[in-house]
Amino acid sequence: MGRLYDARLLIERVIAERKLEDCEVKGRLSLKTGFFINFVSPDAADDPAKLERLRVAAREVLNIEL
Amino acid sequence: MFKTIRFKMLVLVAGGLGLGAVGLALYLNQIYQRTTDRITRESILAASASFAEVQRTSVDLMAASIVTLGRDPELKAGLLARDPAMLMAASEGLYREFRQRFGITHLNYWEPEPAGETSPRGLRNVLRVGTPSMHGDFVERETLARVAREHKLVSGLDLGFTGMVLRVLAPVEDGGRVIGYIEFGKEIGGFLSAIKGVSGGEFGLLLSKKRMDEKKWASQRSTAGLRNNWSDMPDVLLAQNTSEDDELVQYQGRIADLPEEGQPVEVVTRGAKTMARGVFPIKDVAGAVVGAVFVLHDITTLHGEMRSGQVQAVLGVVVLMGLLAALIIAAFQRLVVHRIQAMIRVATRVVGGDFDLQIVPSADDEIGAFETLFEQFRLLFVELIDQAQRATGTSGRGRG
Repeated sequence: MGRLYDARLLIERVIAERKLEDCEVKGRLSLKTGFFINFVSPDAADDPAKLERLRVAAREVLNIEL
Repeated sequence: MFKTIRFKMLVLVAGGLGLGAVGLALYLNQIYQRTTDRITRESILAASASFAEVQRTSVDLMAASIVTLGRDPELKAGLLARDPAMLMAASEGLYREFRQRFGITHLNYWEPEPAGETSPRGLRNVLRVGTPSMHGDFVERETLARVAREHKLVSGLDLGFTGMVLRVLAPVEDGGRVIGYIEFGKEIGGFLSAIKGVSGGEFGLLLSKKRMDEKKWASQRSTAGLRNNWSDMPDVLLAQNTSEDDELVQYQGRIADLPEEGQPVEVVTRGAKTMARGVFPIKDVAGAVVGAVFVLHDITTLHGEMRSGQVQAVLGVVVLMGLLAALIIAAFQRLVVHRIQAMIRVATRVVGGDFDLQIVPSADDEIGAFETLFEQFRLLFVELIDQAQRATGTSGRGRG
């Protein structure tokens, strides 16, 4: 599994722990990063640019550090 | 907040209504100015007519008195003899009574012009009943010159060194020959009280400085226990004032430039009172402008109503502004903002994997058309995602 997919899992865990709206949060993250979070699969390539965008978006939307 | 359409609309509404309030206030002010101007002109006209009427009745009274006096044999004898003592004895009682009852200030007797003189410039005095010690002097004055030239009744205003007098003169004849002249005079300061009684308001009498003597004026004021006001105004002197405030009747312009019908002067507010002011010229017997009457008209009530109207109008607009702004914002919030926010929410959730969420057009309007377009776009988007899922074997759906 790549770092991008790990990030997706971490985000899903936070959403579950905080009992947030899954589609709402992922929609906001996807709109901010420019790619679908739900399409990040275990074998997704670790594109550093995508990772950085997701890190920034996660900080803004969930206030977490990836 | 400042970037929102709602705020921009608020600014537009507030700005538009604010401009409206200012425009309304200016318009009301203009109406007030016009009304004030009209009232002032009417006051000037009324005062001018009253002044002319008081002058006419004074002339009539003095002319009738001259005719009566001119038939008195004792007086004729005194005039023929040019004897001040005889004339004094014949007219002193009458003068005192006329002075007390009618404000007659002058009763003078004049010698006839020298035989053969066709254009005399004045006449020699026989007696001034008011100041009997002064007699025998030759006086050059327009009224004297005219009565000597024309041998008929002459009347008109005459500006002396210390004041203005309405004079009426007529020849006294004996056997078809002019044996002298009788002159009655009335200082016109008393006219103001008469005008005040007829037309209301307050009045000031302004006299041209050109023919006045500064020292004599100062001396006369001092004798009367009044402040020397020679330097108060550049062109004129305030000789009489029926109001208590001399400051109200100051005129800094030149009376020679005044139009025949007079002109309004700016409105002043002193304490609780607001006065419309105007001034009209008065001419002497030769037609020269030698003075003016200052007219004061109390417009306190009108001024108060205008100010109150202005405040009410502005307050009304402010209240209207608040109501309208609240109404526009509420409508904008309901018709536009809420629906756009709903579309943003749906779009966000769809991107997050809630592909079944639909956008239902809420009204058949511009935003409704956009909602329809957005729903069509959502359907295409979901179809595209399904195709991608089938191709990649992944699920783009979220957990609800």
